[in-house]
Amino acid sequence: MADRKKVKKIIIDANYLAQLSNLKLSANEKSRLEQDLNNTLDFVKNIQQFEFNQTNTVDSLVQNKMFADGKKTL
Amino acid sequence: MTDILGLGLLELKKLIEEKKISYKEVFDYFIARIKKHNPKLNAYITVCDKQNEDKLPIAVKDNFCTKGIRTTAASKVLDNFVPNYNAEVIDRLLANNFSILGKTNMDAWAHGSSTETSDYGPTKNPWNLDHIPGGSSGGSGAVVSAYLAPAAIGSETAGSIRQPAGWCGVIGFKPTYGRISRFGLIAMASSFDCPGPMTLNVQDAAYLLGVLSGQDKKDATTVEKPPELYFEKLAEGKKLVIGIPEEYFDNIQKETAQNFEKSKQVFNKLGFKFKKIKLISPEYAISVYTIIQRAEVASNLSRFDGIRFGNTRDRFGFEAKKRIMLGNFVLSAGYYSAFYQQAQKLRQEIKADFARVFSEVDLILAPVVPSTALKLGEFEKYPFFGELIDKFNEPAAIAGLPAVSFPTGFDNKKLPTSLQLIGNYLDELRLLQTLYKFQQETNYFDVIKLGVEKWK
Repeated sequence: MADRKKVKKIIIDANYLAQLSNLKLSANEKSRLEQDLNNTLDFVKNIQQFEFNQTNTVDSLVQNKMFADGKKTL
Repeated sequence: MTDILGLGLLELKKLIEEKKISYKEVFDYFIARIKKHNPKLNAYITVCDKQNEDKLPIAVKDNFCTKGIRTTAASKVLDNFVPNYNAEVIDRLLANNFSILGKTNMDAWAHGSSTETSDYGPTKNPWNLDHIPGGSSGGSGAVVSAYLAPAAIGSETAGSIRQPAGWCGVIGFKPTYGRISRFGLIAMASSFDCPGPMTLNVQDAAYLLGVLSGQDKKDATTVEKPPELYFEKLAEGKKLVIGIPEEYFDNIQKETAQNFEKSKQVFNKLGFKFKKIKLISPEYAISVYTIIQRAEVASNLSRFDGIRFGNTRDRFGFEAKKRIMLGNFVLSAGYYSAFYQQAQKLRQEIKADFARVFSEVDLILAPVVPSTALKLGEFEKYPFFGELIDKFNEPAAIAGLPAVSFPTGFDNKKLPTSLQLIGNYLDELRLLQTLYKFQQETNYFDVIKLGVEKWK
């Protein structure tokens, strides 16, 4: 099996994100949110280690009738 | 008056047509039950206790806009919001002789799997008031289980119909994405959200699916293909091949696994065949769902600025703030390609994985949740509890596939266990037909019947 890719550790800044999101945070919320968001990020970064199946092109998806209305269009 | 405790929608409809009971008597009956039991369950946010019409009452989750009736999405941001239009689901119910009995409690903005994030207090599980009913359609699950409504409409992004149905011991049907219009449904994640029925039996689910399904010009994501005759063809159907995904049965509660074996024997006896299948691990589905859903939430909740309607954003709860912030993070420069774009690519991979499997099997049988209903307050331990508890529901939701959860028995604490059948795109009819055969053979091991009797 290929070596799993190393994923860089990212630390979220709650103040910056709150500003970006047009939200106000209390001091208590800020520390709880930073902890929760960073824990979540630690988990979801596993998608960067997924080994994609190179044969799943758009053509193969269409051939497998991936589209609910049966039409071979995106 | 005829005793109607535990009768489903269609059974009540039949009694009314036979003039054994009137619409008013049915309505008054449920209002009396709500007044008696809702204080303990907190399953309704708004009860519509004035009715002059000859219509059958049904409960609706409080994220469907109802003209003239307060619609809060269980958030104080919309505490006084009264829509001036109906969701398409509501219009179709009204056109088919239903009336709105009340708006059920839910996780605020549908953000959760416990109904504990509601700004109007948590709903309790009718099977044990120390336990949660699941979510986010927990109020809808509870009202059906305790017979405070003959049926309810919920919505699902990833598990929000199936999981509370499983924990409350009722039927929960999530249709194919686009089968039922989302117009007027307060958006959570627009590429996932699906309205769907929660009922006491599969006939009612089939009937409601027929009422609600169909293309809607006001929702461009609805499918053109007309709905099938779900109710009329319920008793038909062939014996199918059912896939069992090995990855979904790791680390599940002992009784859930035991009741799965018991249910599998029933399907075998009914002539269904089983085949082991391999699917991409649900662990990846958790990540894909978490990322894409948060991104869509951040976009959808940006409209709640307190300018044109509703209250200001400082009324958002902790969970909503967390989701909005993570959503904006995964969409922001420098992180978009590592998270959002990668999640979208993996989403296509998961869809292709299901397409491959559905070339080998007709349906998939899987657990709904790893365990029976948890106690109130347990979700506080986990930063994204909902996603972990819904890991068996996220893959089908990511792919937009239909699925139905149904009760299979109890654990040693007398809490319901459940299973789900997952179908291919627009294969709602075969799901319903298969479940109908199971229902006729087992009556869900009396779970639904005992649940209603508990709240006599």
